[in-house]
Amino acid sequence: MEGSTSRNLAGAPHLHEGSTTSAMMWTVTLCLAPSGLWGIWQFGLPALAVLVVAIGAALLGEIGMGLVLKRPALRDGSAFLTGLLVGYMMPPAVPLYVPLAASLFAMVVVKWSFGGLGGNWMNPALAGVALALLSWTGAMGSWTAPHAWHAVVAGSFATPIASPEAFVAGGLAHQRGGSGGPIALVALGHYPVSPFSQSVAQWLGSHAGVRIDPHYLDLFVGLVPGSIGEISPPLLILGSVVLFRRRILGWRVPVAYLGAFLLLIWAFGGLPLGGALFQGDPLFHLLAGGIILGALYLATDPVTAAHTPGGMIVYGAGAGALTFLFRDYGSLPAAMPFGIILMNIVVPAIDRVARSRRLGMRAREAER
Amino acid sequence: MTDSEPKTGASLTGSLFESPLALLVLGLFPSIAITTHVSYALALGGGVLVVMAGSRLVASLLAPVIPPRIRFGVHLVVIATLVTAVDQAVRAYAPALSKALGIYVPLVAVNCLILGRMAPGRSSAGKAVLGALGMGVSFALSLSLVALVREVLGSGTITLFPFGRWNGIVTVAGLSRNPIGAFALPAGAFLVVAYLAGLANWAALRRQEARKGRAEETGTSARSPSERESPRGSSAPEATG
Amino acid sequence: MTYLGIVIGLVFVNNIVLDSFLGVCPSMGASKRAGTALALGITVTVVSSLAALLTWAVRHLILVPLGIVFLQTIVFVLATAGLVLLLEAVVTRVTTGPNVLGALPLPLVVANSAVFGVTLIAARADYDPLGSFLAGLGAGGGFLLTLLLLSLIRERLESEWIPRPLRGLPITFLTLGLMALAFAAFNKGLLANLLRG
Repeated sequence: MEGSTSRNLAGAPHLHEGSTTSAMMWTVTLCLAPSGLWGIWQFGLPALAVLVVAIGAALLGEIGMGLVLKRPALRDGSAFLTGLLVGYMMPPAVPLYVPLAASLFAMVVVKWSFGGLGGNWMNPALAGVALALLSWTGAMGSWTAPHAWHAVVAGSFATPIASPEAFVAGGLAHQRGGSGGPIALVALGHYPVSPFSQSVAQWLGSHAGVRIDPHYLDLFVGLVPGSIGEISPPLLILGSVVLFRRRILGWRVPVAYLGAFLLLIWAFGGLPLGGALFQGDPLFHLLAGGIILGALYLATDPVTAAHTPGGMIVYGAGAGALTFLFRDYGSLPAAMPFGIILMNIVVPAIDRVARSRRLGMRAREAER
Repeated sequence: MTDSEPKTGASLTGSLFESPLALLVLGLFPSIAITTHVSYALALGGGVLVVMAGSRLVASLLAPVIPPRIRFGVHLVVIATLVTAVDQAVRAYAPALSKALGIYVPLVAVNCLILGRMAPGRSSAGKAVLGALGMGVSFALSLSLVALVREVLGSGTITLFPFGRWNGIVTVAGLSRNPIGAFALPAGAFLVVAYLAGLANWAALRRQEARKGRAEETGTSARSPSERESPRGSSAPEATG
Repeated sequence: MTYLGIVIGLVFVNNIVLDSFLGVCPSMGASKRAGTALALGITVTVVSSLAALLTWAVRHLILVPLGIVFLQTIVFVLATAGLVLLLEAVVTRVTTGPNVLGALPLPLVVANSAVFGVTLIAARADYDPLGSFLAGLGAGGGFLLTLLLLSLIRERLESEWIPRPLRGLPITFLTLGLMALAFAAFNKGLLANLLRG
């Protein structure tokens, strides 16, 4: 099947084996599933609707393009996965035409116009989300309260409420004097906390002598406003552990991404809040927003990430650094998608440099 | 991309659908910047029309008198002068439009040069001017088409010129409240032009195949006039730069 | 607008290719190989920074005092063309090896809307001489960056199957469109926040 097209074997990775690719895709989907289920539990039927639309549109786009271009499509679970990821990055109450457009864009423009099945150079799901972020900035920045806040926040699902990182970013606009970091800002602004975390923090405080701000607990467990599939770090990490053990996931990109991001947040994160260097809060920024989803599942997409070990580190670090830039200084609701797709652009350059270095080394070895 | 890169109609005698895109892309692409509103596109298209026809006329009239060595420079000055005239006129009579079009009016001066050089040498001034008018019209049309798509998708409106009481804006139901903002951004311009060009290619390919099918049936080696005449496909940019 | 802001602005926020659509025409031809892209990009950077400086001088020392600013377009075009001719003559005389500047035909660089466009941008923003020079540098740098990245993506695309109607020009524009989509994250809000610190 693949032999009919002239593919340069030195080029991008070619996911030839339909069966292996398919198994891989569905494994990833399965590992992602718990996070989405959590999101549906916390945000209700609207979240489910968004996911259904996102996945449905992706499948539709894939089938449609397969028919139009007369290419094999759909049998490998990648469309489902792309749709799932698009849905995961959506706020729960977003109008349904947003995930629809994002998924269709991802499939038709980013994936299939470039040949589909490994031919694209930009991550389709991220590009679709970027489109949504730029086109419907308001809707992409409107969040709803999670189920866990029912007792604390009136109106729950329907009430717009800022996500933690949006709250902090909004707070930055208003106060430039030192405030001691995001958590202090959050506390100052009377940002809600779930009763669950409140009681856990109390228990830890009185029985174990450990003082943790309950907001951190909320963030860690996943009891905050946010995008459907992004709020629960433990579930995402758990899924990725499975992928690591099955060697579907490598360590280089996530480590480089998180390393660069967290380091820069620590070093410079305090500046916008009026603080000094090295006063940033890496924990907060790691847990708030789509950083973990991005580091583990999106930046690691084998088709659009760098393809050499050294390249992966450069690519991951670059994406992490850019994500930091947009998180701390940007004006769009989300930072992670842009950090990664900008590095997607640079990947062919990284690959090329890595390849010529390898050739150079081999040539020198041959001379010996 | 070896055999099947279809010719995007660099042939200026090609169909109205094919060649305008070539004009747009090869010569006056910066104009895409103003395709956020249909009225801007129509206005700039009109300006380009005036400049192209006018400069062709002047150039043809001056041709016998100008030594070849400085022909380039003379063309440069003529076009730039006409552009300045148009720019000043717009500034005087439609200052808001002038602000919106910004640097893209003067920019026409530089790009018309490429177009001027692309036009095959013609004998009579009359034919030359007509040819230039034709190019100008098809340029204006293709620019407006891009603007139409971009504005409808990106803002949900179609902005034409005010007429009497009407402010000239047509709102498209449904899209106007929640348009796809990305199309109003530069990215949208690239995407629209890409797919329009793709559409043109697709049409050209179908026509090629239809012709080949007919040729096979009738047993003749049919090569259409436009295929014979157009030596440059998408490699035109590399040749003239 | 600080000098740093001018440069960052023109390389990322208002990238002259991805945001202002300047210099796209020559990009089409020169972006198939990274080597050509690099050469053209450097050339444009050098030319546009000098052109911006030169046109600042012309505008402030000749046009404004004489009250003939409306002749700006004509004068700028001639000045830019003259500059390129001069540079070409200098480079030809000075270099003995392959002449990069000469390899790119004169009309290409003159008609390169990137160079001319930058002079107009700098004039409209009314930068001072250093600002104008930096604007040219930044614009050229942005052009170089974009062209280089584009050429490397195109090299990768050469080994991929692409739907027939989209081959050649359309897919290149699609690539630029996706690049522009990503670069849209570098917006005025970001620049403002950065410069504010």
